[in-house]
Amino acid sequence: MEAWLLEVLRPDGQELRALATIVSAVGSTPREAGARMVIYQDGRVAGTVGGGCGEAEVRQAALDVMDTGVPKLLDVDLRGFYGDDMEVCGGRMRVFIEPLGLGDSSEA
Amino acid sequence: MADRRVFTSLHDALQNRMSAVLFTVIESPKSELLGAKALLVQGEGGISTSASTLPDDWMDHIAAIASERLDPRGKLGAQSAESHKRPKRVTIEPMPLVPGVSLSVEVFHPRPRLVIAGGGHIAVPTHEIADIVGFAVTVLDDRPAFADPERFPRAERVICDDFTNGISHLEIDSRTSVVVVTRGHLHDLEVIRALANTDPAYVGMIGSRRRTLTVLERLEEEGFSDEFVGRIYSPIGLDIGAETPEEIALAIVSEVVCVLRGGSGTHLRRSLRRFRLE
Repeated sequence: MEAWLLEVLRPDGQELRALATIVSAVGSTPREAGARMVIYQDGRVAGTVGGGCGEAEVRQAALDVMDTGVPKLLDVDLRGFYGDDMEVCGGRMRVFIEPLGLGDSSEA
Repeated sequence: MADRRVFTSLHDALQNRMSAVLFTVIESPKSELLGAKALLVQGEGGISTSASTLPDDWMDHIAAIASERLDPRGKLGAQSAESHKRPKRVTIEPMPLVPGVSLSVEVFHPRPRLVIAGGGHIAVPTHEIADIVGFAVTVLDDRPAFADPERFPRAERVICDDFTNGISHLEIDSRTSVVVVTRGHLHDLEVIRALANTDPAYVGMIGSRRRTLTVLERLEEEGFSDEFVGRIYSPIGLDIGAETPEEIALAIVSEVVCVLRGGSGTHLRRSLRRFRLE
């Protein structure tokens, strides 16, 4: 079974959480479309959308999504240069971030 | 807000070895539609909506996309044997007649199956590596001491039966791979014969170059077609210089992944060098 799905369906999921899904990946990206990460309000994550700067950006946006309750489509550009002259990965990805509310978890 | 029922339905579908398509609104001028979802599941009676928070009048269009994605002959459906180009599992589609709305369309298939015929010393690390890689593993042996669930804790199923019976009772579909590693070539032959009317994604058989050649020739003598015999990967595994049972298991699972994904099985370094020269 997909690990992210079990995480989303965890019966003890009584905290505010958000789900981030890579919906498109162009060029060299560390993970493929369909990769997911669950972000908790205290900043903990389960799963990965590739790690590094890109993932940090997703995590930050997820905390905003939990605050506003409104899902967001985030463009993550991995083509930047960080300090030295090595590109991070070279690709771009679009990540959909949506809240997994308390109501969702208590429903089951 | 994401609907838990959709995720529960997806879990149930995969648990019951059914394929499904998940639709999610990822762009919409109306924020209340963002994150709305539908899950369409392919059951025995066709494709049906198992959970949805999308507007009802979208569903005809959604169902048409789902059936295209789940059609094994469709260009985005399951991979055909010849095609080395992998279909996209996730696409983004605009919603016609609703400006500014687009949906992500994601296909889910149950875990591919790997059947290991023979429960000996190669089977143990093979079942572990296969489970890590994401296969639902079935182990078959005719000896109770070897067809022991405690010996294969990561297997989905451990079956104790003779090889002919065991293989014929398994549902070997085009998403199933078969690794033949029994204790002797007579048993290997039983397994291969029992596969005669099936269409597995991969069949590999262990053995030395000479022994496997004997077995393949024997099959041809028995009247099996060149095409059937030609599909058997034997000796089994990618050439990684494997010596220990664990390394051989790695070579076997690598070959299965390589065949299923349409990889070349060569060093990536070579392609990079060419890329740099261009």
